[in-house]
Amino acid sequence: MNNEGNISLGFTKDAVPKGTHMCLVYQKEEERIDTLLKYMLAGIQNNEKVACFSENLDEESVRKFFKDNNLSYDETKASNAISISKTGDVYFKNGEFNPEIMLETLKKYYLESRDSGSNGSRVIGEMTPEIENVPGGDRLLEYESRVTLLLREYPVTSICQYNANEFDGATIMNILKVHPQMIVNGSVIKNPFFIPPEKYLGI
Amino acid sequence: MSNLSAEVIGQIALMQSFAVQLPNIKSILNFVIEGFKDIPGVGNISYSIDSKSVDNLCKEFPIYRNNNYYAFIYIEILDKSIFDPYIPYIENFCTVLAIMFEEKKQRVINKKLIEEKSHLLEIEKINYHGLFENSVASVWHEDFSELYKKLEELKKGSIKSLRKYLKNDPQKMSELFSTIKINNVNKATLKLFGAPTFNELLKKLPETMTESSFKVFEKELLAIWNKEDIFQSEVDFYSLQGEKIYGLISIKIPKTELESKNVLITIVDITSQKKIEREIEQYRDKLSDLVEIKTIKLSQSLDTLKKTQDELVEKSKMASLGELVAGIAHEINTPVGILITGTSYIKELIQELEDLYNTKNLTSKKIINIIDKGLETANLLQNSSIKAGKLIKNFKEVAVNETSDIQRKINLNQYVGDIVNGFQTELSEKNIIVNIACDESLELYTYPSSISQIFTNLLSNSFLHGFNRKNSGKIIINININDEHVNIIYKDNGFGMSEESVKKIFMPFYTTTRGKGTSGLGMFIVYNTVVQSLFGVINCKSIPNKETIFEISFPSQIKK
Repeated sequence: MNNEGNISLGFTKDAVPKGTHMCLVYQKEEERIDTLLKYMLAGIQNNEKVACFSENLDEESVRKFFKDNNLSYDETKASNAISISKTGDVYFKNGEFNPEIMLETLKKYYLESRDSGSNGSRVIGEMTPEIENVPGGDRLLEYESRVTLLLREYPVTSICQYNANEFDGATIMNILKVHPQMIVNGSVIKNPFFIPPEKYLGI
Repeated sequence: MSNLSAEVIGQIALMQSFAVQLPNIKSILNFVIEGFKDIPGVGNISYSIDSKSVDNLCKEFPIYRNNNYYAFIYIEILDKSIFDPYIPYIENFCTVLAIMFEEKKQRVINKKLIEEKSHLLEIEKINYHGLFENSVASVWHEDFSELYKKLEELKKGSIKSLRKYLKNDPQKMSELFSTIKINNVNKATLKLFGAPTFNELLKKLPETMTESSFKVFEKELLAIWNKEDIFQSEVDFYSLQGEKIYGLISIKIPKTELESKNVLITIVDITSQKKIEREIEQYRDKLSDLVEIKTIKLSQSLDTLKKTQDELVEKSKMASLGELVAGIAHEINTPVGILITGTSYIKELIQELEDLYNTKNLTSKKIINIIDKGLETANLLQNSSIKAGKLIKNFKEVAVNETSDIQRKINLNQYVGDIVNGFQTELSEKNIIVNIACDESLELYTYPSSISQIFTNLLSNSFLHGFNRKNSGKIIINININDEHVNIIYKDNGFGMSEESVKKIFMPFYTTTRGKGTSGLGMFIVYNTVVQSLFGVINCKSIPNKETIFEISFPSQIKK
């Protein structure tokens, strides 16, 4: 796996380095799905391994989108190049949010991708408001900050999706502070609110 | 400006992009407060929505627009010299927030309005659908927009009178009719027309039309042309089974093009009503015929009845006459018979006297004997002659001779008193008291002899029958004038009469004491006098062994 060079995200002309940690604060579901499908397609087209954690994603719409772009979703899925899981099944295993397990999963995912000969790995995850009610949910910001640290060593390109209608404004601002890059109006920009993990985590 | 951080200014600018995505003011303010914490030189930051806080230690940033204050942000300034350069950027951002809040508030209001409107529309839709579907009347949802366009075109053209236009070319009406689009009909319509489905009804619609329904459509077109408000008419159709349907059609004439797209037409089924009306009409005709037949029959019956009545009256007259003649004959027969027999006997005696004289056998003794017999027979003849004369006088009185009586003024109390006094001997013998109750000043212009005949016969009747075997009694005579009528009540407390006698008392020759010198004509004379001479009425009531009452009433003024 060559970690050098920029990769296409699919939904923007901007190319970003592998392992970029971005957040997408969205308002409309269509915006989220559009970003998600294009991001996954671009990853597959770039011979990367793609993982998606989404609570409400219709597999049929992915199949159609891939087909429209001359790709077979089922074949891609069979080759383990793509995996789509429910948010809760990934983030809230056993009914709790455990940042350590999540970080370990990310790390493993990167290593497996690398070992499988893929050109990289990317994930896109939709965070749900359930996080505010599960044990360990208060460690979300810490987790996000640690992800930034992790990706420096294990560069899994990551997009975290947050629904502006489902999270409070203060949470949204704090989420922004733990993502180095942000997607604004379809473009990836450097996040001015970002607080480096060393400072944020006090390490 | 040299102290300003480009990064912080960039943050403030970028916050707008995220803030606008947040759903409400509170969430935006929370987002902003969290973002402002990175501005150098600030301590605690808070906000209040709508109302002002009294925290004087903080710098206040109002978020307002067009005099509407949406919120206030309070920033604790730790280092004024560092913070102050950011104030214009913060104030500018607050203005952006104000616009955002205004828009959010408006959006909330709009959303609420839309929700309310949608809710109302939904209710209207439900109500409309419910009314439409469940209406007992047939309801048609039609689109008249094409028809309207056609009619407008005609108006803009040279057509002044639609009636004339349709009359000149009847085909035009079919053309106009075909422009109407039927969107839907309700269940009641399908039932009325016996159609299984809406499509089936549409397919067979021409079969439902009658001559009358085309005429009604013409009237409907004229109502639309004349921009009337409502069109109503009776109409008839055929059901899909070919049965006649009668309805009352009602259309609210649309006024705008939009209204013309949604026209509701109702048809109330009046088939049963019409059927009843027809039956009533048939019954009326039948009844009329029946009445005519009955009238003819009744008229015939009436003629027959009248004829029968005339015959009966004639027969009754004849019977009365016969009875009268028989009565007269019977009463006259006895004295006349005696006269004939007596005369023959006297003739025989004279013949005997002549024979004795011719044969020289006439002796004194024989002469005396013949004279005695002659005298005896002569007496008998005389008595019979007197009786016959009396009878004839009575008969004469029965036939009231109006010309023989002259009207004159009498004092009724005094006149009746004089009549009663004429019976003084009989009254004294029988010890009968007569009480006359009459206004002493009552004067009457009448026929005195008629009054005399009435009271004389009533008094005689009381003496002969009422008090025949009695040694005392009372007669009460009440006389008064009321409502221009003389009312007389004559009452005796004699033996009274049976019901049978009361019924016959005014019949001629009716008597219960025949052969005792009574003719049975007295009360008949009273009846005739009251009815024929005085134009009044008389009634008799009696209770056997108690009393007999005669009630007489006649006009106080008699015009002849």
